[in-house]
Amino acid sequence: MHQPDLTPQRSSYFSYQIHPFVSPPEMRGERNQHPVVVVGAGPNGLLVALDLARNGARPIVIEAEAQVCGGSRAVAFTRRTLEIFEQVGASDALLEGALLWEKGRSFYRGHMVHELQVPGSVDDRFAPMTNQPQNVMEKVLLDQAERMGIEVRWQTKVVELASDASGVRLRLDTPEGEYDLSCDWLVAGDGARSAIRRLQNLRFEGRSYTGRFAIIDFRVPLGAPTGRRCYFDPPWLPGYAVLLHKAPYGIWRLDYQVPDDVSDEEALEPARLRSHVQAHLDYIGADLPWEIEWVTLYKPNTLSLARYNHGRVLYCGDAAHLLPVFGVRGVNTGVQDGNNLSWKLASVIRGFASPAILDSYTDERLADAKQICFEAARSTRMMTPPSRGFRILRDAVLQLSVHHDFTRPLLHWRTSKPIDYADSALTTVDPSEAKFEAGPRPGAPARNVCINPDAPSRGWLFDAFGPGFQVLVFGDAQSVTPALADDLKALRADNIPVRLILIRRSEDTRVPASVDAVMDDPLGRVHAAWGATQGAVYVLRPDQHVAARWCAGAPTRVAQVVNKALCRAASQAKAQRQPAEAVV
Amino acid sequence: MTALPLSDLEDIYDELAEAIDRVGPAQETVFLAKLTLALAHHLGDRALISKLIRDCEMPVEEAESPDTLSL
Repeated sequence: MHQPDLTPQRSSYFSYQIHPFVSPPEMRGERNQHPVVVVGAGPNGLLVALDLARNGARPIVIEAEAQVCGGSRAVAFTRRTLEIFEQVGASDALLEGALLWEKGRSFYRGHMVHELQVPGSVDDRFAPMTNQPQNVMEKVLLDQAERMGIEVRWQTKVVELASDASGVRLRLDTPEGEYDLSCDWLVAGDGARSAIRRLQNLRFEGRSYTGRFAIIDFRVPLGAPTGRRCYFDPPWLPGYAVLLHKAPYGIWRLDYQVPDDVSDEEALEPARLRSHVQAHLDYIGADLPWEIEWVTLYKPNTLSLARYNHGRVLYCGDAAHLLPVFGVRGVNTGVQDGNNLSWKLASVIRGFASPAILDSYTDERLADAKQICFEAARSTRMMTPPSRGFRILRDAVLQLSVHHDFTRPLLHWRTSKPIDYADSALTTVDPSEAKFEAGPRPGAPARNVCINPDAPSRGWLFDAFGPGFQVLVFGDAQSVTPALADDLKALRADNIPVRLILIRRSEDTRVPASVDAVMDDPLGRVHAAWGATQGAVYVLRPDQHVAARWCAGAPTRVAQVVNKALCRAASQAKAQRQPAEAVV
Repeated sequence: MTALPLSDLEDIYDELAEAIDRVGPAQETVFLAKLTLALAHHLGDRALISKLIRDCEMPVEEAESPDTLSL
């Protein structure tokens, strides 16, 4: 019988709760066919469960452990992650007690050799970077799952899996014995050592690196601003790079490469860890008391499954790929996987998308994984030079950068950026594309805009968004053309969630019946940021990426864009209607 | 003199590192000296080359008080 550790993990800032095993109806002989089961109550599993629920599916979550993750683990979240948390109603809670930052600096022998401010603007609701330990983040997601009535089955381990074209059957082991669970779809969000991946005999492709990094979280009353601090070649670790980050709750994080001649066991020896913390504090001139909170070792990899959808089983986050974490690419990548997958799977479950849409999940997220590997390889060659030649070049760049500007951009640490799904099969490019001078391009994530930065309640474009597709029409009542209203009617008749948002420059008492929300843009800030002229239309997918955009009078139709984004076969989607002749 | 675009500098970084690995530690110094002489020949600016030699010769000392915490 499965017996997870019921001793609460220790933490000076987080109080661990043991979640009990609750005997499910299936153990009392009930036979249920669940539409979707998510394995793993970590950041990926929980985010997918919340996002599936937001998109109208009813997931249950299976988790082998009895508590959230041990230690702070992932600690820095990107703006895009916060925007995705906002979609599932968890951003405010994640921001409680969080540290916000935007600057990173690199030092070499006490000289600043690189400074980077991650671009932010008045239009961003969230900071470029938000620091919050992963255990706190998981608790935030759990609380939200509870509010949304999502069932989490703790202390439940998947031991057998059988899947075919009709669904997935799981054998689950619990502290009270085993039971079987059937579902139509299974999402594996169960992390780097995924049980589901092992049970399906799937192997990663790519390469592991030999380099290892130690992470030491320690409590110290160091009153320095939040941000990324990188120290190249410190006297206590010659030839290597050391990162220092401020985390919330009085914790700082030291992150450094373990020299090749030091074993894993030696690297984690308490005396060695303590000597490194002290040496670095001495180096930066901080004479303060401190104590170690949590330590771990990690190895950067560029490993990925060849596909993330395997019949009825879908992989996301570390279960799907182990990518280099440089530039906060760990959990932030997984969150984007989940956001990409959830609306597609929910649309299939609700019967208005073809299962072929799940291929686009793999295609779009593999494109991101490839981009991440390319960017990370460039970070890696600077942080952990792979050969003597690269070490010599790295040292040359560092030394030149003390006095010369031209080499400094080579020290850029390439933070995680949300990907454009520009080449996706789901994206439509209208002939009027060339007329846009600004705004998110087809495939790109939506760009938030502050409606009036000087108003007491500033208001944001994203406040008008809801679940499902968003059709943004810029202009006035006239801009909602009969053809557009017709398309919305047809899509809604097929139960496809489509929201029409009218973004208008001036108040107009006439609001067409098909409009779900009106957003006044008195200063024209949304129009400007989105490059929108009168009558411009944007269609956003439920994950807020642009499915299509066009200017007034263009041939593209909303129904055609939505059907394409849902991979609806011609037989599935009703024949496209002719444009209405008269204005109603 | 025109500056190289960053993407070219990135590529040259990789090319040079890989070339050093190919010639091996015993030959790398001579390789870099040959490359420098060839570049000097193409650059053709006697004074500039002398200045760059002196610049690059200077070791980078530890800063007296690395003020990294107030930043």
